[in-house]
Amino acid sequence: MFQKMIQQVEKILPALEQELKAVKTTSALEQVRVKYLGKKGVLTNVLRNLGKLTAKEKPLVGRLANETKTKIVEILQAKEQELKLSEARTRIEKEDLDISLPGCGPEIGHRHPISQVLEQIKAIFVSMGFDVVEGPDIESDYNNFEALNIPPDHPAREMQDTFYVNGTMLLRTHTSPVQIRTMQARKPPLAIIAPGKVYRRDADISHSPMFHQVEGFMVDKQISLGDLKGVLEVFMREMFGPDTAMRFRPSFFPFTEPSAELDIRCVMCMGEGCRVCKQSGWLEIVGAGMIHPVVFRNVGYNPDEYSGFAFGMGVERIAMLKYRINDIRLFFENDLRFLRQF
Amino acid sequence: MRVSYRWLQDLVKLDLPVLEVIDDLTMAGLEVDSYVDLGAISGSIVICEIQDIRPHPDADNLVLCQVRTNHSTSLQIVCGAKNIQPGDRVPLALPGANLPNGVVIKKTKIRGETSEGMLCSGIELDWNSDASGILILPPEMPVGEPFDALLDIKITPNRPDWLSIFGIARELASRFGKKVFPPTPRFQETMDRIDAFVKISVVPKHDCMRYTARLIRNVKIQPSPLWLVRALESAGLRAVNNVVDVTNYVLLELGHPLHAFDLDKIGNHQIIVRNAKEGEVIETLDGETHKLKDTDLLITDPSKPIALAGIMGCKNTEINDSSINILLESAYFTPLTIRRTSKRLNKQTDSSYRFERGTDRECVTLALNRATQLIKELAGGDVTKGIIDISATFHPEDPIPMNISTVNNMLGTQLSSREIADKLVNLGFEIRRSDRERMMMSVPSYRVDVHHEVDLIEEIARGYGYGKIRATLPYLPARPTVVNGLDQAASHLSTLLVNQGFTEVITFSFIGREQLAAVGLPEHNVIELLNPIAQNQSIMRTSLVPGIVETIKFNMNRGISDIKIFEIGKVYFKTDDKGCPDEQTQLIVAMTGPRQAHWRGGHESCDLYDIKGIAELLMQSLSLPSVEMSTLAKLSYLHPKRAVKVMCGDVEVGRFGEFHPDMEEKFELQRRLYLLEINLESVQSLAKPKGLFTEVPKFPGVVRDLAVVVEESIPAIAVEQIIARVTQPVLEEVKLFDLFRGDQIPKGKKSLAYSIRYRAADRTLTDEEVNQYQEAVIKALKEQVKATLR
Repeated sequence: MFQKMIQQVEKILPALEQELKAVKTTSALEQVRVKYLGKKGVLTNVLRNLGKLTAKEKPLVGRLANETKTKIVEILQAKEQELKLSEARTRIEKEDLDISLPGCGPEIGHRHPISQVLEQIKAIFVSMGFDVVEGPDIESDYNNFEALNIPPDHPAREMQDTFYVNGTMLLRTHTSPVQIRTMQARKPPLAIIAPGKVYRRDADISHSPMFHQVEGFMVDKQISLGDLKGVLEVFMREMFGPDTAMRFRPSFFPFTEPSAELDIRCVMCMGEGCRVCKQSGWLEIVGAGMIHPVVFRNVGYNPDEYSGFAFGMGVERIAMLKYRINDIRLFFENDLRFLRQF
Repeated sequence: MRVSYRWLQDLVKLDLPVLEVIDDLTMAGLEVDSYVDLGAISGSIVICEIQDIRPHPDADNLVLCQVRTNHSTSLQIVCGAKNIQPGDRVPLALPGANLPNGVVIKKTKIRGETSEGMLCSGIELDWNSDASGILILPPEMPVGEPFDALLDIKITPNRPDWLSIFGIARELASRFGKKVFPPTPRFQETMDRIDAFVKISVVPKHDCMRYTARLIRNVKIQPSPLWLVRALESAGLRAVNNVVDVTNYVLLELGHPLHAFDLDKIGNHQIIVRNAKEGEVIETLDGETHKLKDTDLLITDPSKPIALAGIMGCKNTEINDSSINILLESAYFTPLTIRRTSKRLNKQTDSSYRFERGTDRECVTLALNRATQLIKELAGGDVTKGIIDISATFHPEDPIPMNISTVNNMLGTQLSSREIADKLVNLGFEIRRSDRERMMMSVPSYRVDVHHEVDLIEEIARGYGYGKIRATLPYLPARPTVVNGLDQAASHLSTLLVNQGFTEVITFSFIGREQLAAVGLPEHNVIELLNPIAQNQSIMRTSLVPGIVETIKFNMNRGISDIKIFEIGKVYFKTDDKGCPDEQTQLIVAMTGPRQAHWRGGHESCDLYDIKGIAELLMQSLSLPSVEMSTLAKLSYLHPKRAVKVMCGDVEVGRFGEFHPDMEEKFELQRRLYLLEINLESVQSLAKPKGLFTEVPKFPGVVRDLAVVVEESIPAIAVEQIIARVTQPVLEEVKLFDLFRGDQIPKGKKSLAYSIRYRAADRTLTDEEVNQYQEAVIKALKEQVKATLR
């Protein structure tokens, strides 16, 4: 009896191995597991007669049976692992898709090129420590002109043809009145930029009755024309690239003295001379200068104590150069075929 | 101002390449906006002399010209013009020349005959508008030399002293260390004195600080010689007759305007310079009549006005072919006086342009004498002895004090007082007193722009060269940068919208009354422009709607159907507070067309719930507290049944809805349009920073679904509120996941399916507990909104 049982137990593993060869699916494997390890399984069957053995024989068969059981479990687990892998591989193999079909994600919109350039300008100056301030579009004649040293009947008023709302209020022709507002409200040191819409009575391929400007100014003790040059050079290199060539030349604005204009090397022809730069190889890009003492006096600053620079730039102009846009009107027509390019 | 390089060269010899001079002018503040090269730069347009003209053997309309460009070179040119004769000097474009009109000259054969260039007409050279023949040049023009270059110089309004060839030559001379000499007119005068013939009086001395005149008798009016005609043309002026041309020539040469009267047409030979009488009428020589004010200045005789001072003369005393005796006026008119009149009458002339910017008061008699000399040379006649000169006392400007340290501090330079002084003296300034730290500078009479120390500093910077000033970076005290809050909110919302597929547009701040009326908005609070450029840009917008609807329309007309756009901009309202309009920044979002069309679907049109979703998203992203959306009572441009206001507490922060069907039809929009407007100022002020953290739940939640059928008229929110009330302590979220109408649902009813998530903070909820709540919900819904379970 004892011998028979030993033999029966020893046969189990080879039989299992043999049987597993034919097993190809996890469900077939489950049947095999039940056959060997189930309540009515092969091993249980063998051990049913364990009670008939002697006390000496029992532990021997028991141990063998336990060892065999552990083995069976191991073998079945290994087989299961193998089958799962191959089944997964088969399933994955069947899951091919036409990856050339377009994706169905949400579409992205576009910020207006003017806003993009404005954001970029702001970011550059904010990184240099400038505050961002805004002023109203409808301004007083005083803030827009008189306080900026442009009295009534001054020929400089012709440089900017103005929309009037009434005798004393107008649509600001530049962002410079923000200088007045800010200086009236705050004390130096000041480093400010003021972006916004401005308005001039002018409309053609290069003039729009409404456009955007960014005003910038800095006031402290001993701010120099060299500082103005330095700040604008840093800005231009950030905006147009590190190799941007620039020149700084005299100009005239009633509210700055000395006044200057900053040109960059024409981005269209690289300085060779073209229609855009009128053969000069240079493009006017910023009007600037040292804040006029009259302006300081008008806001209650002592010009002997403080000095400062101010500059203004047209955002459309920068955007036009950056993206080589040839007609300013495109910005306000809002043709989506134009806007979706940015 | 258009300047002939050749003329400039006559006054100051620079011996420099023209391009270098152009560059220097620009760098000195006389920006050369553009230029026309007529050979001075390229050398390919030269002055030649016609030696011989023969018929073309094979073309009746052409001739063969033999021209010389120097003593030894003779070229054959085929030409079609009829106005040339042997001996004429004319501009010759050589092969390679690039004409202003874009034509490039080549050596060619025309009907078998070689042509080694082209003789040019005035229009081909952009010199004048004459296309009828070749531009004949004055005989004194040197054969073989490059012809010319025309520089278009932008003179800034502060520098009237540059509004003349002499003024520009003077600037160049100082920059290049050359000398320039003003003309020194000499002529013979007769024995009889001018006072015997003419009486002049000036009433308002503050408007006319100096009035001078000369009398030239027995002149012969005739066409001007070629040199004068061409000189005027180079500046874009047309020749009239020798006397008028001389006054224009002197204006161009010296920058001082003059006027010539026909003495015999001046009543009593008496001139009175006076202010106009209020309402007085004058007819200027261009035939226009002007009604005057008592601040306008007139030149009159005892009975009539004969000129609008400094601006334009009258026909009644104009020089014409029969004029014999010329009264020549040279005056200093107060800039503001001329400016006011010229601006009010919208009458700008070469003369007023200079007077209103400020002429050189010391040039008054020089210009008078220069013109007298030229008139005598060109028109003959006798110059009567003396000048009538009525002058108010000029108070010369006080010398300007200047500190060396201020100069260097402002420029960021380390110039010595010597270097500084040199630069100013070069420009005609004089040192009155000087010590190591301080100088007193007196200003030349032609520099009407210099009043302050900073004006001198600019001159020093110009002399030193802006290019040489070292770029430095200022030091700022460390502090947080302040960024405008509204700007940040706008930036934030823009990014969010762009990520949701919306494209930003920018429309004009001004619109037309029609556009406002088209969306039914009122006009009483509109700010109007006094001087709009177009009807549809005549009022400041009180709403972003008209602009956005037009943009939608514009794009639809171009075949674009899926339009999701937004704009952030100001709207403007008139207020009672006179002079202080109310400006508010708003956001408008507009969507129309398919929701999100791709091959798997999304082709259905977007509807109210899409725009509502955007509204909710924006409100959420701003962390606005207690946002509520409710029916909006009548708003002209929104569908009355589909208009919603967005409240934050008791502030209406925005509104959204469907564009009114009537207007949709009127605008021919083809599709329904959904609009959302948000007042940026309100949301920005109400937005809360993110609150405190709440603990992540420790105990599991239980989710139960519930579908109920209710009357159509019951709003979803009512059902939701009932659920919330009944389940309050353990409700985590109630979410509508399906709305169904159709076959299994009775007509007039709808099925709402909710997913309710229960959770207690301190324990795991039992099934029993949840069942009780669920039953309570069903009961409450039955009782309160007659809901039935589905």
